[in-house]
Amino acid sequence: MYQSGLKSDLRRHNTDQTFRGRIRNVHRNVWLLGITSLLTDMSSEMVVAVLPVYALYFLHVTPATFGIIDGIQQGGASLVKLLAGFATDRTRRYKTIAASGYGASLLSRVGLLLAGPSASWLTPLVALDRIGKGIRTAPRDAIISLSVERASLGTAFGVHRTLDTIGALLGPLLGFAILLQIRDGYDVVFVISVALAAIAVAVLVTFVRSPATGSFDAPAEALAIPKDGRFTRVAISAAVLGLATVSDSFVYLTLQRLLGFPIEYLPLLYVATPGIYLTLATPVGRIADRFGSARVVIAGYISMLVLYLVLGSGLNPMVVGVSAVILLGVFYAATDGVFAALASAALPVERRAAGLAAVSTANDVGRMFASVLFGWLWSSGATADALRHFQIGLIVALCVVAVLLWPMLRRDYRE
Amino acid sequence: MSNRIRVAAFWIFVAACVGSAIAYVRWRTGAAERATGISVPLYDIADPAVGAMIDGMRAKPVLFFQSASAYGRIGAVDLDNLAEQKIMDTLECERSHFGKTDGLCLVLNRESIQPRAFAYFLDRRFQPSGRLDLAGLPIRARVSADAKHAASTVFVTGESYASEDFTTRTTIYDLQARKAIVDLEQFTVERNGQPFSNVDFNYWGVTFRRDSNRFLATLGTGGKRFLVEGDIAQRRFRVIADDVECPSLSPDERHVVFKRQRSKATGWQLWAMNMETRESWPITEDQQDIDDQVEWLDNEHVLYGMVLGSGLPEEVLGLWSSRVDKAAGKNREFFLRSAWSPAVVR
Repeated sequence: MYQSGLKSDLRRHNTDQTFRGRIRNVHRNVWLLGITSLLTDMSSEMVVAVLPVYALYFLHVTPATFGIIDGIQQGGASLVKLLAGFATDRTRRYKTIAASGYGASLLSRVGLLLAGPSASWLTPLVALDRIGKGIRTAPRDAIISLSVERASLGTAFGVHRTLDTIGALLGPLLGFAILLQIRDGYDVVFVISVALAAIAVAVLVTFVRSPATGSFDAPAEALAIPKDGRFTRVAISAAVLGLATVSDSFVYLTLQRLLGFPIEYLPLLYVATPGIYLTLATPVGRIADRFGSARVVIAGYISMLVLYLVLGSGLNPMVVGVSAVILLGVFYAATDGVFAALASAALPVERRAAGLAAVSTANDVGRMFASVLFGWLWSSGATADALRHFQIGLIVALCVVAVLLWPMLRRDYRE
Repeated sequence: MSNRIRVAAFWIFVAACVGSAIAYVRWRTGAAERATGISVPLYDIADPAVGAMIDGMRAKPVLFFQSASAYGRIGAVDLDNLAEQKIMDTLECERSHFGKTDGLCLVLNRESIQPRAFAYFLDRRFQPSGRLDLAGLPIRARVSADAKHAASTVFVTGESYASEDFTTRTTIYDLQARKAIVDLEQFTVERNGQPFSNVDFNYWGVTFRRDSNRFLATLGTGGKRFLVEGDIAQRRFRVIADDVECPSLSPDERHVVFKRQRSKATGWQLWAMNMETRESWPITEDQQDIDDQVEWLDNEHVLYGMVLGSGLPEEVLGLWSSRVDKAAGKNREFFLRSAWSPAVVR
């Protein structure tokens, strides 16, 4: 399937087997998309972080006015993600579709700047940003997966997720730093956000090469499920595991409300978790390449299981808090990018984008149901019970997934 | 396009982006230095003559508010003479409220990289005496009429990742002792005689009764809002009505005016409820951007801050009044310009 455009890169591979060598060998597309994501996330998160303050103390509207529609948007974003995935596979215009997603986010920033002090534009502009995110995810992950050979998928996604998360961490800091320096400097935040988003699109458009996937069969076939069943197994696993995953906000809520973790430290958790995630994403990706993505994904969910046990252990709140942050960081490092790597290896080139979108949507849908279920269990009984139900649920899910992914867990499995 | 031209074009574009951003920042910081912002005269609260003037205004019913023309500094206006706003050179409050003697002023902590604030206790001449840290963004401040108790509510946001589930934290203060007494999360709740609890309980919009030990507030859980009555001494809540957000009790305790949101996409509408018959009716049109907790001007009218149109806060933010009487229908009247967070001290 791989065509000439990638040959030179493939040849470069496997010359240096050390960790550093492996990282250096990661295809330039991955680095470039990583930089694009870093800049875009910085641009996005710096605005998102200051929006509540902007709405509350400058526009004098409640942030709930634009925050509350998130629930509806989540479903919409998943749908957009799937559609963009199918469109990408049909047209094979990976770069164009990814660029239009990043472009939509850029447009929403420009809109914020031009709208001036107006509350009525906030909701549609925040929605446009989310739509952009939905559009770009599948083609971007497809480019990453098509730019490297199968043995390096884990490392490639790890590098991308590391850069992406760095942007998400730096953004809020930059946003608040600007407001610290310039009184009511929301316009300055928006201007810098536009500049970052514009540079991000320019990096993508100028330097990223659309993977040369050659010609293959009729696009209608893209809708069919691959014959060997591996992809179906991965997608079902994603949904099953999602169903047994408690959302981050419930983890933090448990810490705060039940264990009395001091509320002053709560924002630290939101920084520490992605901090651990970004530190571990690349080495864990490398481990996935070495020992198998399926095994690493299972290990990630075992880390989640340990998290449930720690939350219900009744230990000192600070001990639980620190362990929770580490375990959650490990969980994300071992599942987010690695799941994409696992799915990529199970997908033929011509269905890569839609397949990746489907796996991530399956996981999202699972997690959405889990949130509702957990909230319901929590309100109808003791929290300890809700946690215990989820412990059992996750153990069952892990067993089911171990059976589903068995062929991929075996020592002799070649991705 | 050859590769070299593409790369050159890229770097020119990056330089243009960075250059424009830097130019904008320089222009903006320069502009901030040139215009120190406040066009209205400020009264120096340290000046004994100004102190005497404040005492004099307090002798009659007086309206305190925050001035949008002076970054939230406290303004005072005689209810007989609304034309003469007197803006004091006080702290820059985001939310404030006042009782017979003392007041509460919530100030954003602009030094903090995380959303944080301070609760300042103010004496009768707006001098701060004591402050406490708040772990979030201030949204409500309330002081009982006798200035014995006060309450603050903050949003504790999940930092960067925008999520629909916000968390609030409401604290009750002993205003005379200048200290926090209790967080409302520690109260027990009873609904229809049964204990009622859920992890996602959030409280906001405290409004004190005349005895200042009891108060009404909003309890939010699972997307629903309840009107609850709390008892500070007993640390207990009782659910008394459904679908009531951000209540405000009239001085004669006969009515509550509250906010209601018909759908997530539209804004808020003010409703009144007769506390005896529990009958409720709308008093303003739908789709208003009302973020304020309303304040009672007298037993028949409420005041609230509202944004009308778009523009800078000092131009579009003002106080409006509505008549609560059911026969008056949906109504509103402009009351005071460039102001929010009204507090009527009788």
